[in-house]
Amino acid sequence: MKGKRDQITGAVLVILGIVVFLMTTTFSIPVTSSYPGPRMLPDIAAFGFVVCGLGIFIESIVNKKEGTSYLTKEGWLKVVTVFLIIAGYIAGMLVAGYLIATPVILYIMTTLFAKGSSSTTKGRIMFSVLTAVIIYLIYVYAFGLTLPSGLLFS
Amino acid sequence: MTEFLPYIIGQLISPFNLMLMMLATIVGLIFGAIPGLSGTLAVMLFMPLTYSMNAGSAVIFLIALWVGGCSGAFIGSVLLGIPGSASSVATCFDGYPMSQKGEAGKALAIGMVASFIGTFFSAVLGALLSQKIANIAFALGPWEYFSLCFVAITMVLAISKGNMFKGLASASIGLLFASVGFSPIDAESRFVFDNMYLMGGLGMTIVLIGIFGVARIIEEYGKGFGALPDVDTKSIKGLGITLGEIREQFVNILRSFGIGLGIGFLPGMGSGLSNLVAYSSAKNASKTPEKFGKGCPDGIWASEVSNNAAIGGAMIPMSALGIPGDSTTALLIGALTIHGLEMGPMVFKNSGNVVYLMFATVAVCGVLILILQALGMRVFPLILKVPYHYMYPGLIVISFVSAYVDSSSLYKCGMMLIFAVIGILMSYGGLPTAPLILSFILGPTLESNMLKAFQYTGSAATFFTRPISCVLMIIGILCVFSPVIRTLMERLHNKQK
Repeated sequence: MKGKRDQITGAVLVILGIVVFLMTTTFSIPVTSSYPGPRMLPDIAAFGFVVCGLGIFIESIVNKKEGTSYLTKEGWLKVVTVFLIIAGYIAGMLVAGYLIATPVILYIMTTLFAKGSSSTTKGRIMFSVLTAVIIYLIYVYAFGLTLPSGLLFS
Repeated sequence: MTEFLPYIIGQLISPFNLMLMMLATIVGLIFGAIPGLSGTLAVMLFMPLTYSMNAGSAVIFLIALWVGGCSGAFIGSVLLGIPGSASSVATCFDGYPMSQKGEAGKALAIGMVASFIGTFFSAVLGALLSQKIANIAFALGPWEYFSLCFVAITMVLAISKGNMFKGLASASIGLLFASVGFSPIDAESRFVFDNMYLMGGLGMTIVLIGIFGVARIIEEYGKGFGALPDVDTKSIKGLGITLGEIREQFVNILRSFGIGLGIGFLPGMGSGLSNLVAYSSAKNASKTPEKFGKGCPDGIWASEVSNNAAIGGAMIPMSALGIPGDSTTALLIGALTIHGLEMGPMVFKNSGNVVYLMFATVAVCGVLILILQALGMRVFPLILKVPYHYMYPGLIVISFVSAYVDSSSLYKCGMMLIFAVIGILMSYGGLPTAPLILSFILGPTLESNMLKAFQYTGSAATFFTRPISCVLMIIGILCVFSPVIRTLMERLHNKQK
């Protein structure tokens, strides 16, 4: 399983290296022996990707290591769910602002994360509202920073 | 140095700064104590809060978070057998067995006093040494600075767990991220795709919190939070150590302090390595090495003195050369730049007061933490009982609020989400994060010095004709190939056997 993972990682790195290298060829200042210019750093990265990608790929074939899987199917589902929730949170902040989106998202996440453990709905609601308000007070009033007000209210 | 004393004292006794220091220390301690979190994460998450502060308050706040995180890491090691962070791995070896034998109070007390000794004296020594090293650094040119950055990155590769290729790949990702935006000197637009948000480069906050913070939390959730074992609080009674016991450990403390300070000073290394080296040295030097791993106090002294001594050690190259000693100092360099403090030899001339304030804050935090820990010994187990289902959603929200505050734009929140995906993919591929952090932060310094060096001489050979640069380049190259060299040596050794 780990071997396959390494093969995928190696292949992705090689492709990434080639893409980065091709992109750097469009830069206006060329690399010369007397002045490497702005291409040098990304080219070093591209070279690193290709060499390391090949190294990881070949090593995984030679060593044939057996390891545990990174995440189970259920685990991947959980990860994707959280990413979608966060994407919703960003959209929520854009539309409704921090003060509305944050307690809602906190409640959803605490409910999701609390599966299998003992926690009450009342406790989660209290935590969500209090945390959102405390963060708001600290950032806005204590440190004078601004938080999203939302398209609906601006 | 004495001319800065009024400023330093003024900053440290200001009620606002005192409150900030107390708050940041407690937050740092909590982040350090809870397995999965760390002082580094605390610095990342709360860095945007300092944007509205003056330089003095920002320094006090960030340093207190860092020192708190380093000093709190032993709590999880002693009470749970799970290190709060990599800096306290070796503390587990003897701290947890002591707890199991009913000596948790004594193990915690050793951790507290050892952390204090390491933190306080390394800060004093750091303050005395850094100006001298900065004076030497005036003689360094772009060749040496490039080589120093190169060594800092490669040293992390040399100790990368797993294989060299993965460490190098991670460093390459950091360099690629550092390339985004306008290039130094030539102002060539790179990987910007006509997007105005990318023109200034990728912000440190979104890249690091996304990859290091958000991704880790989501990954933990995907893997399923393991419930932490219960802690026996009955054995926590009083400090349980005497001055005589501290005197007995004098040689061990001195040796571990030297190791911590030295490793902390080396670019790219830090407390994650120093605690293991100091522990091994203490074991090797002990007359009763068989007691190690079974609840021997010497092991805790060695680990905790060395990991905290690395704080002062790491601050010397950070302030004198602008080169980070570890990932947290790399972050601090970035954060202080926002406040107009360009670390390096000139900082002593331009903002010497703030630099010495940094060292003074470390020393004061050392004392403050000792007091807090001594008073709150019975509260430690409660820190470890904070439910993950409350803590992690809270941290996710703070992460995205930090991304917003960083640029007052939700675009950066979206970018952070993308970096969290990259963090998950890196973790899937087994790529370590430390090389990425260092190469991302050092990338611009590395590049601008490289380009300056070429502008001056028009040749790469100068990197090897200037003695200091040549030595550093050779060390860097050896570090890159050290895993291969080590494997070959081991094979040769086994064949000879």
